[in-house]
Amino acid sequence: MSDTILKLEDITKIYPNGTVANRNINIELRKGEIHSIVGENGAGKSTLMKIIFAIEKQTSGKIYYKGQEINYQGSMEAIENGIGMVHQHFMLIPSFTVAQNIVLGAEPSKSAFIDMKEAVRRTQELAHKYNFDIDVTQKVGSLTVSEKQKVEILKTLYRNAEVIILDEPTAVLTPQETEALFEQLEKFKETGHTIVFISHKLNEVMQISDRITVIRNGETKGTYAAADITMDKLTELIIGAKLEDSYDEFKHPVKDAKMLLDVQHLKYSEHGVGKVNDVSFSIRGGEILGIAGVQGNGQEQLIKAITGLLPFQDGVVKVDGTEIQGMNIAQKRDAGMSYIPEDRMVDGTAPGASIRDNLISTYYQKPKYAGKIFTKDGVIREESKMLIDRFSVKTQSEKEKVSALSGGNIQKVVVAREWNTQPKLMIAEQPTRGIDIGSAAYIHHQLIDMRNNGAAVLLVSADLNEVLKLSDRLIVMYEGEIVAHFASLKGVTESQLGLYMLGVEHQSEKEIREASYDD
Amino acid sequence: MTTEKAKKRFRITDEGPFEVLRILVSILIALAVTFVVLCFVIEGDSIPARLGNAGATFIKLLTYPCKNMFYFGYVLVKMVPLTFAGLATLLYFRTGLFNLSTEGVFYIAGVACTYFAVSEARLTGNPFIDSAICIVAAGLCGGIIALLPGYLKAKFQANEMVISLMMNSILFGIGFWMIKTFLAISGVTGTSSAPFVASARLTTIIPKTQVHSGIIIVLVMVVLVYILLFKTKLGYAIRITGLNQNFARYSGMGAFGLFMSVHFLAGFIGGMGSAVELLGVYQSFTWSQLPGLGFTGALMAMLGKNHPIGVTVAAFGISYLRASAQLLANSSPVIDIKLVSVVEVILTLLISSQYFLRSWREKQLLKEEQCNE
Repeated sequence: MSDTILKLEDITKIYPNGTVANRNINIELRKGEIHSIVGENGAGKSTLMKIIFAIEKQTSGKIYYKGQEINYQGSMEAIENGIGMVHQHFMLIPSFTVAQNIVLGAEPSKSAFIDMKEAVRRTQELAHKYNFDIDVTQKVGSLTVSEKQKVEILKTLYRNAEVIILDEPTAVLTPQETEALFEQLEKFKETGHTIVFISHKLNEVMQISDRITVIRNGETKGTYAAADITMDKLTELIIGAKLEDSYDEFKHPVKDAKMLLDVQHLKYSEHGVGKVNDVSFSIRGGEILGIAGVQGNGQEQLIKAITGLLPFQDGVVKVDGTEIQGMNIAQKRDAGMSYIPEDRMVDGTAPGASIRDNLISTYYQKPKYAGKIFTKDGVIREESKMLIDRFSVKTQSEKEKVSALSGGNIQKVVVAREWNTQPKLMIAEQPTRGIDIGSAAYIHHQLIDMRNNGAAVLLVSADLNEVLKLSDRLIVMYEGEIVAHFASLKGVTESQLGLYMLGVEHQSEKEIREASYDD
Repeated sequence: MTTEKAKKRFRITDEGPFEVLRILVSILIALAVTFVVLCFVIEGDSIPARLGNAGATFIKLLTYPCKNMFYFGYVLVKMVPLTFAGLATLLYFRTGLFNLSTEGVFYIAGVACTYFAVSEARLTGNPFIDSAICIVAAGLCGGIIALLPGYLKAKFQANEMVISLMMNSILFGIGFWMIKTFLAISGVTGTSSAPFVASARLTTIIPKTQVHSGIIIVLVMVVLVYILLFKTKLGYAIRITGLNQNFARYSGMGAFGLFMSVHFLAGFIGGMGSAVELLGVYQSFTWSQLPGLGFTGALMAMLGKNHPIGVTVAAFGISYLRASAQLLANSSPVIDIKLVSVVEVILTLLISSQYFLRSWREKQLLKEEQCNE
């Protein structure tokens, strides 16, 4: 039981831009245990996993596997030797069947051809053995997210993985699906597999783990048996401070609030498939409306159709009474819209540009910052410094490149820029995804400040906890439709929301219509 | 916050200094390889003799243009069109467009310049105004021609590199035909235009050299492009779009107007460069094939890291070596302009490779980290 299977010794990793991701990390994994690695995002967990899985190479330090020092040249070698990894983003081919995906790269063959019958037989047998209820002849494209995850796990088992790394496996799952996954993981312990579990969600970590290793700022802060440590202690180790559970005390009511966003009968389809089907809701000033739902149920298309990143198709969107659906992005922004996009590296910043340049991109043409031809460098410099200061972006100078910042600080740059136009409507899409808890709490407070100052906030997040903590009202989306609306979040629980998110329950049309105001 | 900034120490591993170091090491390696090549091709009976001869020739190659003012002037003259082409191309590269049409623009704008420069009837007789007419005409011609790939890119997302390369051939064909048919001396067959009118040609500004007033024009353009890129709204949009087009779109910047402006400006600068080169160096239009200056512009933009000052330095450096090789070609049997290509190729390779010297920098950072602990 206590045999060490994998040992990391003094692992240090420095990225080319000078970022130190890991510093002298020491971890010991035992055979047949569930070992959680927790830490803020940007603490270095992902890098560490990539090093174990040989996607990245450590700058210094040693890895021992089954007592031998290893030095794999790539992930193929790691897989061959029994180390498997299920990535956060699935690496499956949608047009292949489950069986085809599982055997890909190690197909059973009959002379020169792939023996598909044998592949189906073997994978079905494997699924039975580990109690996965899945039809292996189905196309992967038609599976749900949790089923796809099972396929990913089966893929590692097919290659006889003994150590399985799960990178944030519950991020895409509903509470019910998470429970099912955990039962599965317990079984793996019995078959002698070692599970490395990476998660943000501490209650899950406490529930499932045998031992827990905390990483902060790229360094190990100790390994603890789950039975010996409390949640409070764990939180303290991760962030070095305690955080509040609810933001209610910071929220102030806003008087005589006007309706600032009104969406009516919005529809969006891709290749003839309806992604958003007749969605209507509205938000008043001084209100945060949260959208909950399992990822891929139309939230992304809804937001992008409103903000203009996707072409608008059908429906009416009004910001403070003005119809904006026909406008281009610049005009929408002029009408009072701000937008924190889902992906800060793709849409939210130009990583190769300076912080200064990233802080002004959405309003540099305004008379305060530029004349007819020239930009007003002095004003822009002062403004950048003010924003860096106010949003406590950790940097030496406003001239530093955004790519040199950590995820949390990059997100602060995005929020600072979007805040600076004093928007009537703030659309926040996954505003704290993948950033450290400290920065996340900071950004939450900024959103609440905007709300208190009379802005309407539309919040979409895959993190249920975040939606529940911040929202004044909440809608749940399932398969492109609103299936539930809560005018108040008093007494609403995660598992209750889970039933709506999975499409098990559905409110009456009358209840859902209350998501829109009449005035 | 400001006090923190003042405390910042100079470190070779910081982005800026590291970049400079990388370029210097690249230059050293490129020159070293050239020396090795020289050792192989040079005459000599024994190895020491060969080394000696190669060393002497190598030093000559590096110092020859400094020998007298005329030679050094030759470097400056060669530098002018390279800088123009580099400035035009860097505007494309900064916007994230891999457009190589400066080559064709150089040719066709040269024809436009020739149209005015060969006829006294189209000019005033005032040297200043006449040169300006020719240069502006060439610039407008280049700008308008460049709008074509710009429009196709902005409107239909056409691949600008393919289009610009095809266009170069077409522009050459049209230009060559126009020179032969309309602008040559009537009755004379050949590939040259009629001679330029004296008042159109640029004047020599340093006595006993070939250095013409084009060097002043190009330096002014360097400053203007610098201001455009770093001090104007358009320049800001260019830089942001080039670094991340998604982000530019998200921020509400319109791609259409930007692409059109960039193409026009780059075409204009390319056209100007062509006219300045023709009026400064040539007696008449004699390019019977594409001059190759536009492509060299892409090289300058790359070596100069898409910065106007960088492009000027790169153009000077490459011109220096090219001029030296050309001047020496008459007296030395082994030196040829092709020898300089060795330097150019290796420099391009090293400077454009992201990974060059990277692991060295990582090790330095690691050491520093460990010292801090």
